[in-house]
Amino acid sequence: MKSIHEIIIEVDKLVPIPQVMNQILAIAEDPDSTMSDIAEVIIYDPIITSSLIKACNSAYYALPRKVNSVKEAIMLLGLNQVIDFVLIKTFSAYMGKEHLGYGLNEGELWRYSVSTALMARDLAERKHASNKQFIFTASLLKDIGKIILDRFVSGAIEEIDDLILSNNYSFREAEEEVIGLDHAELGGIIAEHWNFSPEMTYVIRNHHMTDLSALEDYATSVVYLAEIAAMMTGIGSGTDGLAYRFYESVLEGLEITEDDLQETIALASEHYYDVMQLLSIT
Amino acid sequence: MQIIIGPAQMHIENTRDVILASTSLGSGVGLAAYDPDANIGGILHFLLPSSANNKYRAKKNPFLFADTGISAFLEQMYQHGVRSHGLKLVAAGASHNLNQGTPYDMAQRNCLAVKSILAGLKLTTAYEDFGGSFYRILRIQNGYIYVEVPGHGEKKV
Ligand SMILES: [Fe+2]
Repeated sequence: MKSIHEIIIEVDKLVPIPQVMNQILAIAEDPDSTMSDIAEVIIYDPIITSSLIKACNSAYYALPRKVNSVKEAIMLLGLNQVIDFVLIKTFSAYMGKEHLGYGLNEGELWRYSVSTALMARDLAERKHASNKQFIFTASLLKDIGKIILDRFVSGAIEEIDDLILSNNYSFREAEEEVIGLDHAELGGIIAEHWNFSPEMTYVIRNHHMTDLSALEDYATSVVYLAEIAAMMTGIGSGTDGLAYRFYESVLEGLEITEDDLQETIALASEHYYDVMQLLSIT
Repeated sequence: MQIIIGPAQMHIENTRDVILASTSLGSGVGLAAYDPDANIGGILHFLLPSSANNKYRAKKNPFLFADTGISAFLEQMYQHGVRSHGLKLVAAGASHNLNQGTPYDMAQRNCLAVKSILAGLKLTTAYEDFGGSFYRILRIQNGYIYVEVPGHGEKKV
């Protein structure tokens, strides 16, 4: 198909991911990483460093004393919170723009991603997952394919809508049918282009369970369910709406009850407002 | 001026010069109430059907849940001098994923919750719009309540 070729050209044109991002991803995926590893990476990025320190000194954290360095920030907030902050901040540059093909105004794809990541963090904690940081990061990045597919969805939206309404397609299936490539598959291609780990690439590529064997994969299941929960709140919603398939077996596999899911939605949507407030001041 | 009501939030205002609008309604439900005499409007945007297993959280934020949210919302409307007989009510939302069924269909339960709570209070809605796999936005503007489906028009009530 002609458009697939055009899309791949767009991927090659994509600005390279900042070095700090790849290093943080590597650290986030390594359970043996230490505080100094992450501080070492962040201090070489002046923008991230200054916004992190500014956030720490904001009224939001109400810390007893002034924070002056990345190391102090990690000590006070904890390693995971600092990694979350850096990831969310860095990725706002990619996800923060408007994506009108998906009906997303400025900031909405990013808000959707942050909301998904907060849902995922809560689910992973609830289940005592060993790879919480990996799951958080994957949830934040999973829709990266939309930033390029947006332009192609824009010209195909009527055909896509039609397949959903008349032929029971999901939005992803309709993207694949009409454009030749869907946003999850394209996300996988971008992940490879940016040298993400094979594990991260797999989750991004299958976050809508394109390959049904992903239903058996723990991290993919959590990310998938987190996105369902995020859709339910409507935060950062687009024209794709909730038109994605629901697999009850994911909840069974993760042993998430309906009460758990409700708790997650309640907690993460509260937490979402806190995070947005914090980011708006940095 | 426009005031946005996000998930688990509620807002009441004199709407003479103010527009009230919900963020996109997913599986949650938006309830808009408008008193034309007093020009007072309010929108509640709740996410979950019942606070029964979650009393602590409901105490912190009643607007998360249908039961605690609707009663706190209406109580505050009445405190603003609104009377129930002139009140125009519109409810919308409760969208769901494809092939989403029980026991995880919170949208369905949110929809049933708002219907039964309003019926229990002997209140009727002027318009309801539930279901589907798309988002809606509730808005109160210039004396009317609107249910908008972005990209697909809106209904004026
Ligand atoms: Fe997606």
